[in-house]
Amino acid sequence: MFKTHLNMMWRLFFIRNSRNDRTIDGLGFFHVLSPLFRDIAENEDELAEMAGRHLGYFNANPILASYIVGVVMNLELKKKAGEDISADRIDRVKQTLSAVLTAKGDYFFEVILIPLALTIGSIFAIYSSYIGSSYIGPIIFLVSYNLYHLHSRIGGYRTGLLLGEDVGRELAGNLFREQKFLGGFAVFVSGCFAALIFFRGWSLGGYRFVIWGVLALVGVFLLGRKISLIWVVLVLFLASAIFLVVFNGGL
Amino acid sequence: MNPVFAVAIVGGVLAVDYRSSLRLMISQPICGGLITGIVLHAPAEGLLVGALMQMMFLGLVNIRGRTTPDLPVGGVVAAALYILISAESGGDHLLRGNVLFWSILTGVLVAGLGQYVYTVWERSSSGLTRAAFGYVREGKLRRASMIHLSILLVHFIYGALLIILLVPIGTIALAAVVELTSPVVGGSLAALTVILPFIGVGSLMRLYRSRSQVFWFTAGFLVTIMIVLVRG
Repeated sequence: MFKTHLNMMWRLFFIRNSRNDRTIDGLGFFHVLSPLFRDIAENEDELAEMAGRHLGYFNANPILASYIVGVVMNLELKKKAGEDISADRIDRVKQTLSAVLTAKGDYFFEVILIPLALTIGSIFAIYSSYIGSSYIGPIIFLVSYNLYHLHSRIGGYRTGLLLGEDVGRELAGNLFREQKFLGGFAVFVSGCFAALIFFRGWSLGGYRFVIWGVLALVGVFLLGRKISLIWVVLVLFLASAIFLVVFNGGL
Repeated sequence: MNPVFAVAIVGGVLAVDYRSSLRLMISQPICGGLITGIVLHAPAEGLLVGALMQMMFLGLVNIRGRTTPDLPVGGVVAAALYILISAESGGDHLLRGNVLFWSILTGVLVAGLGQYVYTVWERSSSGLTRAAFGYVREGKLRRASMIHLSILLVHFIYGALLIILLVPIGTIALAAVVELTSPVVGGSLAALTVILPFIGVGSLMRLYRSRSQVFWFTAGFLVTIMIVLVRG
């Protein structure tokens, strides 16, 4: 069984590999579970029946999907041991956890942790001369993000496997208890970053750069409501270059 | 090894990290730029370009698995172009801003292209999943797994091939464009390093808009200003 756990854990890291519009990560989810099926199925028919129940739609935050894999594995093992667990019940648990964990994981990782770690990394990259090494920014980013990332991926699988359907209590009570603090801290650090950028603009370019900075902020706000961020960035990037050429010694 | 091939391998690996959900985040431009710089023996320059690209997209979030700009490959292309063109121009400080502008512009366009390509790929690749599920129903689990894993190669080849095609041509084309535009822009674009992060501040403010978030953002802003003023 140890080999099966290892086999499933490395597969968890590639769950989103075959993402598509129809089944989202359905094939990825099956690919993670397939070592379990091979391990516990007694014959080809049972293998096909087990595998057949997990072919379809799956959409969850890829990091917290490890909890779902653990829970499904727990239920499949209980079912194999003779407990009265229907395929519908396993599917229901899978769908419910997917919805809950996607909301939780997307918010924690995408809205809080990644911007926070990247903002801190960017501050260190800008002010690296004070620290002595310019590589400290990326290193701080990678370490702070991956601590949570790897803990959630590997720990989530273990927790899901141990608690099974009771994982809900763990998720409600313990998962990312520090979310509120980190959420506030991420916004606070963003404010610090903004102040540092404005100070840098002021000291290196005077009032013109600060005014341009304010215009850029307003631009992101106004354009961001209508078009996607890549276009907003492209427009403001070109506008910044034109501003510099016109007002900063070009032409 | 040819530097373009070395950078192509870096781009391929970072594309895999980003698209496969490995998500160690070495693919973020701040890391990708540094890695590209290390490979091309100019880590400081690589980090500069990577960090600038990163700062412009600080508020970019990938919610519900929506296809996002291909920043990893874009960051590698931008860093590689900046380092290679700067080296060709003999490190002329007046040209640096101009080189930086064209390199980052190419990087952002590559990121946009990646977003479009992957939107099309995700729309059209469900046939592979259907085929894999068919194999599972026939009891051929290993074949289904092979289909899933072989898509890693698609991600790698996309990242690597784009770099192999773009970097050599881009180095020649952008060097010519830089030479052509330098009399017009002079050294003015060197200040891009100062004003581009403003876009990142805007994207962060766009991300944090609730009342309590505005409070904490303002608090961070004011505390930093006080500290800087007190320290002189």
